[in-house]
Formats: sequence, structure tokens, C-alpha cells
Amino acid sequence: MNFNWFVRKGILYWPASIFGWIIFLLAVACAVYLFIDIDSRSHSVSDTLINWVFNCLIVGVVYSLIGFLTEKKT
Amino acid sequence: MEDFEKKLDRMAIPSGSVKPPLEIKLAIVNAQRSAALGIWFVAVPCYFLFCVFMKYYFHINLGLFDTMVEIMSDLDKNPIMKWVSPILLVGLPLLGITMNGLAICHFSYKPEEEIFLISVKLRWLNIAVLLLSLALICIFIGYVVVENIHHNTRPL
Repeated sequence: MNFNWFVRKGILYWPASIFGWIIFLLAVACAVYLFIDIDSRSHSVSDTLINWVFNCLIVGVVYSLIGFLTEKKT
Repeated sequence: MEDFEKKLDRMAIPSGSVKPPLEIKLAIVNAQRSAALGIWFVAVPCYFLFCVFMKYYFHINLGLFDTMVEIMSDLDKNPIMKWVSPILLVGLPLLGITMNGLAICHFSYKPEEEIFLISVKLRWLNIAVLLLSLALICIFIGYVVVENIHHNTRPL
């Protein structure tokens, strides 16, 4: 099945269709929500960043997996 | 010229007894795609390992990495989320090894000689991701084994 939702450039997947953009925006929204949520519970800037980077990596893995499965095959 | 054509007509057609080598191509994905995803798969365990090494090995704590280690221990305590940390730390590198291994390996079988050939494409990025994933799995499995031996050993 060929979805053509994303285009790969290096290790990053860029949206290439409306569904790609929806998933991309969802991932960004998730990252922003995680930042706000972690920031409200953390005690320092470093505490926020360490937690947020870890969660962002997980979001990045899920996003890349979706991108990998639905990317445009050349 | 006509003689040559007649000679060709008289020639026996070779029988198809010689079988071509059986190609078993297991490359589900191409090398570049699997390398790109493999890098993402090793990012989380590498980050966790970096935090652990900074705290316990280099003794650079500064309160930075405690929270990171706490996240993983909190995941272990929660019965629903207990399976998340093994998937992140071992499952993803294992998937990276499988994908990158299949992307650079090529299998063929010659039935008449009964030879099974495995050839490896020298795609250095794939090989690097594969080796890094393998190292991560060895470290985590080694840690689990050593930790369990330590806990189960009781003084006489």
C-alpha cells in the first residue's frame, strides 16, 4: 500500500500531503503539551528539559515510524 | 551463410537442467530508509544510557539526570506501563538490528551445488546502526543478568 504522506530527507520525515500535515501538527501539539505538563510539575529548567527531551524522543520515534510506513517510495 | 543457418538448425537445444541460483531477497526496506529509522530507534536508549553514565560513571550529577532515571523506575512500578521500558530499551534496538540486517544482507541458494550464500552490502551507516543496537542490547541484557545474580546471591 502506497500512502505518500511523507517525504524523507536524511533521517527526518517531512509531510507531503494533508494527512502528513495532520500527523505532523499532532506530533508538534503533543510535544508542546508535554512541555507545558512537565514544566508545571518540575522544579528547575534542567529538570524540565531532561524530561521533555526524553518524551520528545519517544514522540519522534512514533512519528518516524508512521513516516517510514507511509512515506513516498521513489 | 546458409550452411551456418542449417548448422544452427541441426544443433540440439540445450536442456534446462542447470537451474539458476535461487534468490532469497529479504530486503523489506532499502538500506537508507532502514538506517534512518534505525537512528531513531537507538536515540531513546542512547539518551537513557548517556544520563545513567553521566550520573553513575562520571559522577556528574548536578541534579540533572535523577529525573530521567526516575521516569524509568516509575514506568517499572506501574503495572500497565511496565512493558514500555523493555520495549524502548531492548525492543526498538532489536527491531533496528532486524531491519538493518535484512536491508544489507542478500541470500541466495544454488540447488545443484547445495550452497547457501549470504552476502553483505557494505553500507557503513547501516552497519554502524546495527553494531550500536547490538551493543545497547548487550549492555541492557548484561545489566539485567548481573543485577539478578547480585540479588539472588545470599551469603552462606
